[in-house]
Amino acid sequence: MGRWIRQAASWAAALFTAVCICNAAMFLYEIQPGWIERDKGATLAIWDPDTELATAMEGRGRYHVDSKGYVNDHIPEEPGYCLVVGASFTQGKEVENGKRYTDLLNEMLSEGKVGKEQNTKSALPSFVYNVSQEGYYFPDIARGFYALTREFPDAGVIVIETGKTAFSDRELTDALNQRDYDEKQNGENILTTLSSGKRFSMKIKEALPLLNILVRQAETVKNKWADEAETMNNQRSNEKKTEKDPGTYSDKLESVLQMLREEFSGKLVIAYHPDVTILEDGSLSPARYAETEVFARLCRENGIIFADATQAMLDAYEEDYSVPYGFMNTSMGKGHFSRAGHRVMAEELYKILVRGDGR
Amino acid sequence: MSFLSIRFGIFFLILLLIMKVTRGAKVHQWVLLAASYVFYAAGDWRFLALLAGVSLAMWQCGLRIARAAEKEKGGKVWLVLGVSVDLLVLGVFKYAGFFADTFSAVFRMPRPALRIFLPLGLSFYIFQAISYLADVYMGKMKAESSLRKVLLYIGFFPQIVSGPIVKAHDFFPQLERDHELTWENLSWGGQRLLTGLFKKVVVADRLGVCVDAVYAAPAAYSGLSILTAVFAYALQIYYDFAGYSDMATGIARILGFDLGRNFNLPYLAASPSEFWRRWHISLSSWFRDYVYIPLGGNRKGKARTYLNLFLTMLLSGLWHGASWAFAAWGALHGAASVLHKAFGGKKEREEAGSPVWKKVRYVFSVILNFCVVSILWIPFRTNDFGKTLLILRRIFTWTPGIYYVYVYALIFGAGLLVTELAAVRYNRGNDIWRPLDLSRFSSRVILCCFILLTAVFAYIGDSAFIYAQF
Repeated sequence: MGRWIRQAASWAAALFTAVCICNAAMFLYEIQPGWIERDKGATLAIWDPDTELATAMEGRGRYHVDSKGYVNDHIPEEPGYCLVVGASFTQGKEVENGKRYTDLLNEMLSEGKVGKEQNTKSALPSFVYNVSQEGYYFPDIARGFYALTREFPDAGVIVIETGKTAFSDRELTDALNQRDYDEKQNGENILTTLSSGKRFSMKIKEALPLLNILVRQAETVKNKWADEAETMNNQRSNEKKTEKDPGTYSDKLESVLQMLREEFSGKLVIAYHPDVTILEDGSLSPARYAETEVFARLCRENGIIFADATQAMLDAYEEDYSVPYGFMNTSMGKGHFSRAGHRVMAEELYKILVRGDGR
Repeated sequence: MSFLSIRFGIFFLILLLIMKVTRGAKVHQWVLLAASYVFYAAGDWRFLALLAGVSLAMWQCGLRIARAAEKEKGGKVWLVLGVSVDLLVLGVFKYAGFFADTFSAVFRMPRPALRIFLPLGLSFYIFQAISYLADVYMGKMKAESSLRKVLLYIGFFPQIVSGPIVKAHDFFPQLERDHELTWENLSWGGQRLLTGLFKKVVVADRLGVCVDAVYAAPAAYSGLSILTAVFAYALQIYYDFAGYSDMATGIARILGFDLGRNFNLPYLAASPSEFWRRWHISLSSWFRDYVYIPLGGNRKGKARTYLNLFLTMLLSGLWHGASWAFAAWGALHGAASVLHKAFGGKKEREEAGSPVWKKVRYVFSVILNFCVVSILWIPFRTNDFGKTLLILRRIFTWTPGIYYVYVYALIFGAGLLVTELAAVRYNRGNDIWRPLDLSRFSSRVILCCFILLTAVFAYIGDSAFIYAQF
């Protein structure tokens, strides 16, 4: 019996040692700050303020989380800045620091990238502030718009990034129920609202990147099995997919856009970027949906600039085979913005900020 | 049932438990036979009767060969009959569609609507069946009177799906032992299984990301990107198949069986012939023993040797797949082997040279052979002449396109290079894998690190083994 206990203890010690070694090594691969959820802030969650964020799983990047819980090197100092809100595409941790489209836009603005636009320079925002959260898509952004404008009242321009234009009736209806705002949930204050247990648990998770990765792998496996089961069920069932009523979609979307327009009097931009597919013949094909045309029209009718990056992406591909998504450690055409994708977005947004109307 | 599924994990644990509580070679044979048929049924129950039927036929033919040999009548009739049954089954299920398509294409007739499913593991277990008959006929082993043992040999679950193909005279003696679970087998087999798992889910599956993307649309990618993908596929197919073989070998070893080594660092080969002595060793040795040597081998003059070599490789290509692309692949390998035999060996004998020159020549030969093999993997992967030509054209004309040099191809390529250099330095160019001595604490830490890193870096995507389709 004693021998078995000694063996078990030895194996447990070996496992513990291995965990320590592998965990230390994981800091070179992935650093994930604590994730703090909130219900009365500009976004549904923020990172643990004043920490570091790094990844080498998709692309490679290392970033600083500012005091507000967003991925920026600085926070805005002067009013009239450009606020860019979006999902992980905007967060852009997959590219090197300084190569995200918000960073490139900052560079363009600070260099005064002008020629004939010189006389409009004074109308340009001085700074671009990145307010993005993983999984934060248009309906959620719209729902949190009131809180966004309260948390960042000095923004002169707001850009909403979206990769989709098709949303369910439920999503659009929910978007109209605006979230409240509570400044106690700002990045500077939120830690004081957390219990000591939650803070401790968050810090432990930050110190254990190995655990975070293993949990994520397990979730991926679970999702994969769920997808496979769902695919099999869909193949078995003869359910016909219910088609959306285009009239309802248009009405609901218009309500949301009107609400956004009423909430914010400054320049409002929807930055749209489609999925793309690399076709067998070598061409790049953007996804095209009927909803996109409706979305663009309703934006124009409500005084919102609809910046569609589709043509810019196609032009960039035509010029030098730049693909807007994908990395050397994943595959091209899928995933988050590549350096080329960020560059295209920055140039499109810069044109809009300079010209003012998207044309 | 994939080795990578929870179902298999539960199945295997239950099997180990039953093996642990039972005793005796005969009992263990029954347990393993039942487990093998449960495993096969879980994969594809529709063809369970076919597997049993082939095994029954081989058992009977084997007994009649033995009886005829006792009466000094040779038994060739029963050998021919048995092998014909095997080839008929293989021909109908694997090649009928191919023949029908070829016939339709040649005579410009509409393709028949008939679609025949390929039974799981058919190519592998039919070859094992033929091995049994041939070994009995050649006197390498006695005919087996026990149907149980023949059923178990042909249907043994660790290797029925994708090999290794174990020759009958190597396997049957192992059945006579009591397969009690031992710590030594558990340690060796478990570590081999983990090594195979790493090769498959960390290396091969991750390389597949690049290969699938580029091979789906080669017209989009630059010559350099395509070259990287070609290199990545050479690594992917090796790690995928070697990984599966390691897992099969590891599982079998846990149960007390030795299935032999199926890969021996094939990209360290300095010639096409050497490549086939290192790659899928069980298949190439099968073709050597049961096709090349019966055809006459190298005993009937140079011309006949070259023909035998070429035919053997052609058949090997067709074994891999029922299409002209695979036939061409086999034929090209045959041509490369013939060319090397005709011109390469002679030069090696004539040019003694200095040690430095020999090393340079050796390195050059290894690199050249690797390049030839990698290029020949292209039609193997595409199964399409048009796409193969497109890929080759874009590589050799260095056409511009999407720049995509997959990082993991470089990392895993460097890893393989280090392994090969170590093999050359410490084991005369042979595989250096050895199980860790788990009585030592440091070995336990290394094993735990290995398991954790496998879990971290496993690519959770399509995990179907490449060779399972054969």
